[in-house]
Amino acid sequence: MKSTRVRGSILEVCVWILSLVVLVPFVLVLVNSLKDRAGANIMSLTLPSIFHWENYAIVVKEGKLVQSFCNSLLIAALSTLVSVFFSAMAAFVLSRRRSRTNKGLYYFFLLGLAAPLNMVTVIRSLQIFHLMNSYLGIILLYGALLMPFSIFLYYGFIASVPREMDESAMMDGCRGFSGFFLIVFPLLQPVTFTVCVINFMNAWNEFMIPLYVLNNSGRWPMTLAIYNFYGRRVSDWNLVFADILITIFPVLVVYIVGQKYLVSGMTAGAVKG
Amino acid sequence: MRSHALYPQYFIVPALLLYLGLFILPSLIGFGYGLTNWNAWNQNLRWIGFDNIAEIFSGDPRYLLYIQNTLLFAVVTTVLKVVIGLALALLLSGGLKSSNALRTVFYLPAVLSPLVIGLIFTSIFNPTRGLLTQGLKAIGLSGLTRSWLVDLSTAMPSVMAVEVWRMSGYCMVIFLAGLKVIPQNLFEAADIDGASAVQKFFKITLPFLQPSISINVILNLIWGLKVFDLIFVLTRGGPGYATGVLNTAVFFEYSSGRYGMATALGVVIFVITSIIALLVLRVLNRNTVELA
Repeated sequence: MKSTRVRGSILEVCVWILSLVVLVPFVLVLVNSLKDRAGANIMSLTLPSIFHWENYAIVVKEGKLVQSFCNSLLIAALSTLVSVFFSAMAAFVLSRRRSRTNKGLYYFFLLGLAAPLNMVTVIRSLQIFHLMNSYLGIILLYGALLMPFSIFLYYGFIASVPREMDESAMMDGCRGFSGFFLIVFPLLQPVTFTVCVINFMNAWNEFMIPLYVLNNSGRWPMTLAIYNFYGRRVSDWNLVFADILITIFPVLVVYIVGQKYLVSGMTAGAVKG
Repeated sequence: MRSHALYPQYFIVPALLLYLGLFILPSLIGFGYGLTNWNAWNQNLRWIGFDNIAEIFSGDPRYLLYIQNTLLFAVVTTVLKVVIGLALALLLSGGLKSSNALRTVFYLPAVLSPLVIGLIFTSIFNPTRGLLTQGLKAIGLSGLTRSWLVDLSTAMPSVMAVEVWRMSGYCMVIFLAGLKVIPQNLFEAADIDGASAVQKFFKITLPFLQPSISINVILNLIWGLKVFDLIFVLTRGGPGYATGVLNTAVFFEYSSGRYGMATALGVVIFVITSIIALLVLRVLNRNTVELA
């Protein structure tokens, strides 16, 4: 009995040592973001002798990060909102009324899980709708891209909510949009959290699409801003590392707070196959 | 009639319109524009048939190299991610006290932007001062150090290693969920029959993990075929064309104004991804049926 406990502890220590492979790069970023330029360029894991907190202020100013942070927040939040409402409504009807058309439509949406986006013709389409190089364009584009996985998650969850719930409530006179948003939508809260966490992170992390679609640097999200800043200040690793931490900070918060919802969403379907 | 009032069909319209306009439409018109000379300097759009496609497959050998690199990247990283992810999941499911905290750590890289990960590793791979070189020197292996991202022989393996580092934790989480649904009494019965750990793994664990393996293989192959951010920031497809993949080629064709060619390459990604997804799904499903 005692020996298995000792063996368990040894294993635990070994796995934590293994986890250093993941953690050390982040320690590198953290300690070097607080050094001066010469210190950061040595790229060592030692603590800085003097903590240069002003690096963060410098990078926010020089990298125009206030604007980019707001852009990322606006784009990620609104595209999450669009994808949540549209996909919840669509998945509700697709899941409850399984006519042949609706089954076909569901699989049609799921195609989007695998199909890659043709970026050049996306630009052409945005031009056709006069949405190129605009907030609205990129928000709607993200909304469209996030739709398949969101519908997939809502569809599976709605199937597990008993029909009697929405039927009895809606028979009382609540119908259409108001019935859905007052009665059904609150019932979907757990999966809504999951969809929000996943979609917000994906939208925040996206780099390739704004690279093609947003030419105006005033509308750039954090990912484009940091890439551009790195291009200009390759040798100022202290500032680049500070920029990295500011860029990943919101995602880290969402990750720590919403981990439960994230994992349940990521593994949905993985168990059933 | 009742269900018409309760579940109005028009609820699908907003999602469908958005999906049709900004996902399906671009994919469809890609097949048309890929067959034109569409470019930045000529206003007259001209139909050139399969010239772009012919150039990709038999004109410039670069394009075949891009296709080869894309496939290599997708397959090699998928295999490594699945194997390492499975090993991590088995480690963490063995009743460790801090398994939740460990899961949080191993999964962390998967939630961050690949672009940021690429920037961090640009520093780590720095040939003279990077953490990797420092580490090798510290353990007396300075002979192994090289210009990781510039050396022809190490550029592609280095980029793949970053992808494996980034996404193994994702596979782990999927496997952890799969491991939870295995009935524990099967292991107890196997213990009574005197089965070895290896036997239990191959006869109980692995068959039950089949759905998790399928989902990991499919998703990672698809993502691997679409790779862009990581390679763009680490090597921009270099040295030469050594790490160039289809999506970086699309970007550089687009930047040089050859929109028709960029579109045609996009169509090639679409077709390759579809074929591989369908093939892998069929193979994996057949295995599942045989097990059942």
